[in-house]
Amino acid sequence: MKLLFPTTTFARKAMVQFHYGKPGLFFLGEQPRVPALLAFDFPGLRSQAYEAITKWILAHHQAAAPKKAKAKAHEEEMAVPREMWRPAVIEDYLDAANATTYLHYATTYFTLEELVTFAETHAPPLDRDVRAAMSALRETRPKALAKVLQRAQIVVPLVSAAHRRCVTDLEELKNALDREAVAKLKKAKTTVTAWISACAELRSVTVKDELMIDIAKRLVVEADEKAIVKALDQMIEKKLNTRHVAAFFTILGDKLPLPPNVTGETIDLTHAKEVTVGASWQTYQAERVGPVKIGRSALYTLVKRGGAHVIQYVRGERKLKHRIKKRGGSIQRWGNTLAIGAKDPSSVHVALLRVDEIDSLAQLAPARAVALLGEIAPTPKITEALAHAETDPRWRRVLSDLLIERIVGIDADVARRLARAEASANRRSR
Amino acid sequence: MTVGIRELKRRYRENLALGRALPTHDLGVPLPLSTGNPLFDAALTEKLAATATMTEPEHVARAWHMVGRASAEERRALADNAQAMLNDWKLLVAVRAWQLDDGEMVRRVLRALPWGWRLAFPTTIVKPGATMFTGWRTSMQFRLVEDPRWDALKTLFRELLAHAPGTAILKYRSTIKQSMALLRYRPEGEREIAIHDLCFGDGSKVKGLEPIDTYLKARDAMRSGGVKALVKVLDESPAELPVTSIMGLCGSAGIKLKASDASLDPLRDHVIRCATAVESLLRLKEWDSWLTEERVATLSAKVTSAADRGIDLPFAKVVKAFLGAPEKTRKLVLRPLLEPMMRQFGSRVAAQLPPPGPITFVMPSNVIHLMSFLLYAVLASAAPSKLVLVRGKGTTELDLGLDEVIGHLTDDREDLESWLLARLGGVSTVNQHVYDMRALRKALDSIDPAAPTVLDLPFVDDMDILQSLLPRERVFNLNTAYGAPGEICVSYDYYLKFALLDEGWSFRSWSRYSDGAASRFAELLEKVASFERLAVGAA
Repeated sequence: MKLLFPTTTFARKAMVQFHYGKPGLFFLGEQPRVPALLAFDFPGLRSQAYEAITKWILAHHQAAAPKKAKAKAHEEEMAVPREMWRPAVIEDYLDAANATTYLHYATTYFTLEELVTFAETHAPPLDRDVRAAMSALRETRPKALAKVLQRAQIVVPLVSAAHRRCVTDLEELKNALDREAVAKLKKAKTTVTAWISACAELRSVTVKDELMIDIAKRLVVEADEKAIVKALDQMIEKKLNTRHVAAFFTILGDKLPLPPNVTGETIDLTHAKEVTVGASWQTYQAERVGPVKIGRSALYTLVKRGGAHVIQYVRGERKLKHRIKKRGGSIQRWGNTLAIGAKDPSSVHVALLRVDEIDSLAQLAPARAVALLGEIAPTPKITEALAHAETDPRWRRVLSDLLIERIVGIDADVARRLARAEASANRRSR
Repeated sequence: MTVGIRELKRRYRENLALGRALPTHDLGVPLPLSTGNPLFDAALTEKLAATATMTEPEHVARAWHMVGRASAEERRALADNAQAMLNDWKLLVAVRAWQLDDGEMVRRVLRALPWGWRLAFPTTIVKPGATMFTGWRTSMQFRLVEDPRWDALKTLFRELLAHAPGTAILKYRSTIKQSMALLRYRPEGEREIAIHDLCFGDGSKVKGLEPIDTYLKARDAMRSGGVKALVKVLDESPAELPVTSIMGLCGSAGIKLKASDASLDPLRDHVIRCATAVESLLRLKEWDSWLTEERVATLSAKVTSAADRGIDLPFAKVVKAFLGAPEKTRKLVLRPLLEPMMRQFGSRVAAQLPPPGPITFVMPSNVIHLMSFLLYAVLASAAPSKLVLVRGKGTTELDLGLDEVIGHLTDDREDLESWLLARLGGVSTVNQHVYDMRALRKALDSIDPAAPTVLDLPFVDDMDILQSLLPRERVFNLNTAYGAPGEICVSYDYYLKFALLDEGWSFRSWSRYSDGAASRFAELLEKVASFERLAVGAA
């Protein structure tokens, strides 16, 4: 029985696994390449099962050197002798008993030339045989078709594998050509500006990303803040900001300039959420109010301007929203007016700030929480809950629910969840 | 009389059903154990932080209500076990004692708190939100104690300041400033005037109060003469500055120790000398570029002697800092630093697992989780231990010493595979997760049921193993529990390996590892011991 198996590596040695999950076997003598597809010849083997194969190998060892084999009787210590394997050729797929298992991986083990040659040799006869089977008498046609189908299920996937290998080769060729171009560029000791221009012209996204990382490394060493800003702006102009290369920003680190770039504006923070600022093109291109820093908290909001969405980061945490609300809905900070509920005072986001306040006060100062009702009359249930809350903390949750629903109008459980989601970056955990 | 895991779990279930205990998802330390007394349980496991269904204020209200209703005996029991309590609860118990004018208990409980918390006690009395919450809630106006007893509070604060070491005063000067402001505190004597000046002024009145004096001189030197002047001050000073202060001064001056500048070497030597054991470990990665053998030797001497001085270095911190460091540093610190630390840790943890033994570790033979392996090796170096590896067919008992395991902590994947292949044979190449549970059951049945068992069998679910765990008294599962009465789940983490998502369909591949569990094992043992201690009184 001829069987195909791929090689893999374990402990820096070539290994073959005759069945997924079962122990692997190593090779005696000459070692095969990794990765490679090997053809194994097991004369007389009747089953492809792991146990059958290992039993066969053990018998082979015993026949070769009976005493030595006894000492190595344990299946885990067995090794595959050199005479049992050879590197597979593509034609091995045609008569290997387990050929269908490894059809998908043909592109890994065989070159485009081998696959195309295979297609040229085997596709036309297959075509002829299929037509012949189709023209057979109706009574004998099922048998004829079934026979040709067996070969088709090997040949057709290998023909289509040529297409997949073509895609891989195309990418590899683009990578190689672009790497040569980048090597020349680096040898010529050109400026960062030239590197950025060349980067935009590259065909391979892989090499483009690699060169972007090199650009970042150069910027960190050679450039001051002004030069970094100039380089980043050139990259945006060249549309390199469509490549999200995490390493590019990791290398730039705290050298990524994020100066405040908005003054004299009214920033509506009603919908703003507290986030941890990440290093990205988005942060660099955003409107920034105050000293926005990577890894620190900021309020994040999206504004629609001229049909496009503009991202705004405002230095601060959710407590800034509370402070603005406490000061009547707007404050002056960093040369801008920061506002809450400027456009829509009845917004749910404004109400969520009240949820925080009601919920906290109901737990710690129930009477003051009830005072938040103001001119709204307390319901009898609220009065009852307040009376109980003084002595039993479980009633404080009841009181909080009633007050949230009475003042804010949102279901208390939903309101609490929404309020919590707006401040994910600033949670106390001891 | 000892109350085992079995009974602690039973009491938790009973209290949960009666609404006296919180579900584990609302506990900061999610342990399904109960002493029988809800107050004691909460003091050991309920953190005053937001949980799945409760907000911070709700936890504070619940905790304060429980502390307020505690009997004198209960408060005394808590004070006797102050070290076991969560810091939040120590503070609340101290506040309640303050309310009851029990000065002796206030002082006892405060002594169990770190200095930052102690110095914030007056703030907690006057403005609790400032110490219990973060964000906008810090400015919430409410009090737990209606009458702060201002004069007595000032006297207590004076006492705290008198006992506070200079390092604590330097480190927590903003905490002291807040307490002083809320108390409208008038400083008396030279030392207090100096502290007041450090908090509210420019520190010019600080003379001879170390290491504050050195810090102020260093700050001025840095401003006027840069690193050279700073090093001169540090060389001449009899006191050592906390490393955080030195790093703070460097940060303000835009100096980075990792910069390739040889003139920073004397400063680096000072940093190594000044860092505490924990700080040294946490900064291994940051300091990698300039750590030399001599500096590692200084560092190792400090870290290993920390345990001798009674400073408890957690296994998790040590191992995480080690694994997080670059390979070069890991190789450098492996023998002089990590190995002695591991041995000290082993002795401490083994003491928490009294006989009968042996401590039996059960793991699959083909999923080698290095942290669990290390945990076994560390315990095996201090107490009789047994490692049972479960295979597809049968089990293997292996004897691995700490020396052997520790030698492979800096291995790359291939070296690790070579070692495992040499030690375990071809079974190490198996990637099928099917195990012989009958053989494991047989192996476990031969071990005393009272001996501790540590299981790390990821994704293994089998009734056979549950049956063999039923009679066992101390089973610590580093994955999800099988459900035996004497078994407790330590902790586990899920990692998303791969995901494909569509609007109406998704495919996710998860891995579950016991990373956190092995490192939190010691913490769990200490917690269980606290539960057992308090449970005796509660019963």
